Amino acid sequence: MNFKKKLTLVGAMTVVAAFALAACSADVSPSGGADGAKEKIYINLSYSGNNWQDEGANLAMAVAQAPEVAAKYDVQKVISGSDPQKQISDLQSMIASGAKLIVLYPISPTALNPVIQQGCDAGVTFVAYDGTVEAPCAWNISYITGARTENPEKAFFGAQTAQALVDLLGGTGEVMMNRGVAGTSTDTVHYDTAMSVFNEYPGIEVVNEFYGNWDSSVSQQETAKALAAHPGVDGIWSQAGEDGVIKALEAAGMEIPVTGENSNYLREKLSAGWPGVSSGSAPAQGGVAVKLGLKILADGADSVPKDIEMPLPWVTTETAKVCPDAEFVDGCNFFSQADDSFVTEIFEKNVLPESSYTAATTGAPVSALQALPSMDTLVQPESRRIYTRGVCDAGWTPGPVEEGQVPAGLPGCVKE
Amino acid sequence: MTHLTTRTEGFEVDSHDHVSWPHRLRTYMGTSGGQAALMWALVILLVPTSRLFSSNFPSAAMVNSTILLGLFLAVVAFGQGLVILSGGIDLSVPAAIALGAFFTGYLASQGLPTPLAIILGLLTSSLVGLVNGIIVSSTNFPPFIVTLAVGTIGAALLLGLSQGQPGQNSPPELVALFNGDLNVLGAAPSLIMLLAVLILGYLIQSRTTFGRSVYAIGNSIRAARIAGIRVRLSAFLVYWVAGIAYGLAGVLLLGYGSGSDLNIGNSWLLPSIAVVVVGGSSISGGTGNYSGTVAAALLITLLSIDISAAGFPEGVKQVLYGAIVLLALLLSKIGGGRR
Repeated sequence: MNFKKKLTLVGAMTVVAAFALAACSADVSPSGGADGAKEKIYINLSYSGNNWQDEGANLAMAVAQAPEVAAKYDVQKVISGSDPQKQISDLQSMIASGAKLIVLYPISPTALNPVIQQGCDAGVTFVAYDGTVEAPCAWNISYITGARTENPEKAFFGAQTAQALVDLLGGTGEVMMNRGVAGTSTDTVHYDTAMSVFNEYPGIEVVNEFYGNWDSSVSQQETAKALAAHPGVDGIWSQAGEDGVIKALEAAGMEIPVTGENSNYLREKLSAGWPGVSSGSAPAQGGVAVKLGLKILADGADSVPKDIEMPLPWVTTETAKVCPDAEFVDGCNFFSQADDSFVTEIFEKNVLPESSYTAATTGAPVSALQALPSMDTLVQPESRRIYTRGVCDAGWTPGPVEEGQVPAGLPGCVKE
Repeated sequence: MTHLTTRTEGFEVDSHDHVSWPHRLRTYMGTSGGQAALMWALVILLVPTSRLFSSNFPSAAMVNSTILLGLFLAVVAFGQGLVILSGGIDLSVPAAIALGAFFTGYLASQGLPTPLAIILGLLTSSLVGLVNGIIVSSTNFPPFIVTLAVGTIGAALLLGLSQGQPGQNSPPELVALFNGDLNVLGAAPSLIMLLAVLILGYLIQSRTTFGRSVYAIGNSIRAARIAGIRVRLSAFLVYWVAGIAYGLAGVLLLGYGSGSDLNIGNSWLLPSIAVVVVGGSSISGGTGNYSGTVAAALLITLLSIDISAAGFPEGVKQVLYGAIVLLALLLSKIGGGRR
């Protein structure tokens, strides 16, 4: 009895101590003492534990800790997990501790609106990357509505990769679709825009669609199951997790066109002759978001438009090229030393040329920042605003966009 | 539940003619052995019935996928099954799987020979089970909460340790097990592994002293103690052995995916519980048969393949999956199994 009571007491004390330790290490408490000369930047993640999130956060940290930035700002990374309430409460703590700039990966486009508005009223600058927020005072940078660099009319990852797949198949064939996490706006946009392309070709039949949850292992298993049912499929359209799709195809002994996102494995296969295209979400957005935030702090809120589009990466069988070492040289676009699910788009020649493999895997500070190009090249057209902000700008109204965008006829915003 | 019950193994009456065969069948179905037999019958029945879901079924590819994906589920369900058998439940599955996969991949990439990397990876994943076992066996805390907390801590520690490199490549030997290059006596390695897991798991659970003691403590801790079983040690061992099983699943998944990231274990927790219960084990502990669990793993995997093949929308797929688990529970209740 006595022993049990002692054990329970020790157990309870351990739990309390663990909480105290956790609270301390989250360390967003009001700046204890400290010089007060340096202002605070926070990098706030929600999800974590996969390559994409790690690389995005590392790049953000690498930029924020560059010597010229570290001289003026203290940077801290906070991981909130996948619970919106936790991210809201972490943001409140950051605001209370006097943050100047918060670069965040939002767990939801709407759940954070009140706390972001609170922060804006207190003078905090918010920049959301990859995922977007609807709060009007925050800046968004995302690839979701992004366009091809050589032809900015060609927009939307889902549509562009679907078109590429159709072209690789010559306009006819059976295709399967590997989607992301069901119910998310990102998955919906990619899928809807891809279907609008597939629907234009009577010779293309979508025989199966499944949810790989943007995860390599789940994608591999789901693809294996679908291949068993449709051994005659001609091509696969995929969101993230396409490295698993390819592995399932290899196990089944099939080499058919695959379009997907930016895993190292896909690009390795492309460079070996596998037909397909690599595009999609770039972890580089994390680093670019910090650069945008720093520009806002330096040049004022008007120097950066509220809605920025990250250009769509685009690597094909012809253009996939291995990097000799850890740097991006000669137009190379993947690494031999990275693991298969490493997301290769950690570099963008115009907006994030200072990145490297080391920065993405370790967060080591970059040596110097390069200036951002003109904002005109990065601003999101008003016609696509509804996808990232949920509403159209003033003077614009929801409607199909027929001009200036390929594919035509997608829902968007049109001038009143 | 700690009341004493009499358990029926096999037929409870002798061969008097006047006992009707429906009664005998019903009695047999009420046992976990009967439940297991039902599961195997359903699996075998479902193979030709798959034709209803897709004109390309049944096929060799379908069977191979079922065996392969069912293997992972069977390994995870072995650990979960032991824990449930002892009267608990284990929510630390995702963390243990991820630890096993991560450390095996990491150590192998650092130059350790693959077998050593695997053993160390298993030991690391078993640490989660170790802590679970220590806490559950020496306190009154409910296993639900303990395993949830320990699993969360384990996952968080792994997140911290793996900063920047959550993805790990797999040692080539593990990849070779799954990529179709190897061939043991003409059968795929996954089939051999499934048979090995089935036999070993069944023997450990039903034929060793350890396994018998788990049944005993699942039925009644008091009675077990009176019978001289070292309850604390058995309770501890259950969680530790389960941790090793989850780590093994992680190692296999690492080979299958020729790589892993930290979320690799996330999709296996709930299916492992479903499979254990559908396979005939009581959720409150004390009864169960690993053969039934393996059959249930194959059954649920095959059903999931069929449902995917039929091309239903995702929502319908999820509804069907849940309905089937409920149906299996209902069937076992009708069969008279103890719930």
